[in-house]
Amino acid sequence: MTPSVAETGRLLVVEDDDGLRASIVWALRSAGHHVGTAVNGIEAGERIADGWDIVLLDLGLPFVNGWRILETLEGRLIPSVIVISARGEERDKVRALDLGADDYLTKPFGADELLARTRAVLRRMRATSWPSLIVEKDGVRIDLRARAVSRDGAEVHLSPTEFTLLAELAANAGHVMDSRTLLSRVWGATYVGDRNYLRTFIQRLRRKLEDDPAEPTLVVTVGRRGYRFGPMVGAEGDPPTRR
Amino acid sequence: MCQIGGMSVARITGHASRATPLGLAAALVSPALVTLALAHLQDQPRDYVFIYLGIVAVLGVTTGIGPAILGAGLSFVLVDYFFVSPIHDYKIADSTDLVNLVVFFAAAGVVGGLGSRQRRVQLRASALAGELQSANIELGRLNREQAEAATISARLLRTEQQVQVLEETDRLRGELLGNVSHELRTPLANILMTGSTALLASTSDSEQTRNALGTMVGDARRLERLVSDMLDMTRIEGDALHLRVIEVDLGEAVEMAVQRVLRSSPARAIAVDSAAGRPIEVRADWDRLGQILDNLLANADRHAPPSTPIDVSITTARLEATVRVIDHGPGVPPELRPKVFERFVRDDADPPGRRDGTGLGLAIVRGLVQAHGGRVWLEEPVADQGGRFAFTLPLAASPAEAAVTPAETEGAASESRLR
Repeated sequence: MTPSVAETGRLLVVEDDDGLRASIVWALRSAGHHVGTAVNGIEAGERIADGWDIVLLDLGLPFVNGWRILETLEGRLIPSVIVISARGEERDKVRALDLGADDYLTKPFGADELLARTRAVLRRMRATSWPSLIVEKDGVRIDLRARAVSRDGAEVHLSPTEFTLLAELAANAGHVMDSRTLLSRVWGATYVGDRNYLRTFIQRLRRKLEDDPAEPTLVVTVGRRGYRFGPMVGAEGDPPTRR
Repeated sequence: MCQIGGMSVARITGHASRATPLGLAAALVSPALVTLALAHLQDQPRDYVFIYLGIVAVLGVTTGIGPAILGAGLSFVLVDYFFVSPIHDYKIADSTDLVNLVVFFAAAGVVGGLGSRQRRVQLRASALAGELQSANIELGRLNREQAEAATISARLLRTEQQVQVLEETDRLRGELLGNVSHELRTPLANILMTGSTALLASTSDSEQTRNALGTMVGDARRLERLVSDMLDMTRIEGDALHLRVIEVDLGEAVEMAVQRVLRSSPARAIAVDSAAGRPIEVRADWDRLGQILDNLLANADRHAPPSTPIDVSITTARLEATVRVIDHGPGVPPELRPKVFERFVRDDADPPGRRDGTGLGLAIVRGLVQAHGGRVWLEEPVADQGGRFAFTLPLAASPAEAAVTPAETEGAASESRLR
């Protein structure tokens, strides 16, 4: 395999099962990533601040539970977290995403699946293709090119996935984006059925940006079809503010 | 107890003080009969007085003080008249006789009184005995009631214990599900990850090695499906499905399931026919609806030749939507038709390469559809068609209503436990 440098990153694998950890490391290194490991929660806590792009986090860890680690990372921009867990329950998934994980992989999974997910997260982190566009509404200012979001002048920290979702919505402010389009653009074509991802990340954005997340004015639900940034644009279809 | 005591006293005194008609008759008749008998005797016994004394004593004991006194009086008169000179006269000539008679009368009174007292004691004893008996009966009743109460409380205790056992079973089932899931998936994850990484990374290996790795990865995935299906089956049977029921577009769900099956069978032709021509909103758990459709489509894909199409149709009635999945294979053999939704029922005629199902797919379909409040069935065979499976789901509110309230439907997703 000849991976491009843009698609590789610094990855920390937190997994207590020796065999699985070894094969995950093998797969990631084969794909060109720089890989570190932690075998329990304590070690993970020690190594987690060492400038990783992504942490692959097992939830069932000895000493310090993976959930606790997820909680300590909540609100931090980097690293992104991909949860790898044998717990396949939907509510675990939702809870993990709610706590700030960017993705959730249920064991068992294959190398191709793992590599696709890490690639997707890295792509979201490094997307530079956003237009020079600044969208302002209700005190929230989104600078797409600079990847900067502020609310009433104060910087708002968004995870790569949160930012990508917000950017998709803001770039099309006033127009309805249907769920499938958002899922496909933010997460990838294979995610179009995973509405839980979208729901969870929409809620995360609202908590960070809205005055009243229960009565959103920025990230608005439109029927059952999708979401819209800000009020609807008139029938003539005014383009969003561009500078 | 006071009441019972009062009653018993009344009963005793009543019996002792009131002379019965029979007692009075005996008091009148017995001295007369004795007198009659004595009067006819040639040699009258010297101590005849003792016979009367005896009669009075017997009257006292058997009938009470009243008849005893009456008998004594009558005896006195009769003795005076028949045996004390002058005979056949009430006059008493001899003062000794008078003393005798007075003493006799007094003695009769005392004996009668004694007898009467004894009788009172007897009556009282029998009354007490009766009281004791009724108290015993009462006690027996109380005992029975107590026993009943004990039985009821034992039953309550048993029910409580059963509830505890059920709760414990439920908790253990949940724990077991979690543990089995974890314990089986961890080694599976190793096999799958190692095998797939080896397959991906080692391009230089021989074709034989790559084939072996491919088989390993394929079987690991199949084992994972089996574990998942068995866990789902356990959840269905244990009423432990936690459905997140929201309003979803059935057409979209079908379309995505079709995309998924096409990923594994790219050559298959699948035609979707939606009569409505607009979104069909049903109340369902999005992921479980996907699973229902995946299983039905995989079943059709497995049992029909790759060159034949699969037809999917969506129709709506007043309250429900119906999805039909129709293949053009050989159909379900008649002997399997009645039990096609049961676990581990397989068509032995399936080619070995096509037996990659878990044997639980249709059983899970039935469990999931029923948990959504829908129905699932196998339709009668039709010429040129193979398996024809159909299921229903309850329709969400009509589109008009939905348009009025375009609010946070997704945020309002409720986690509900349905059966």
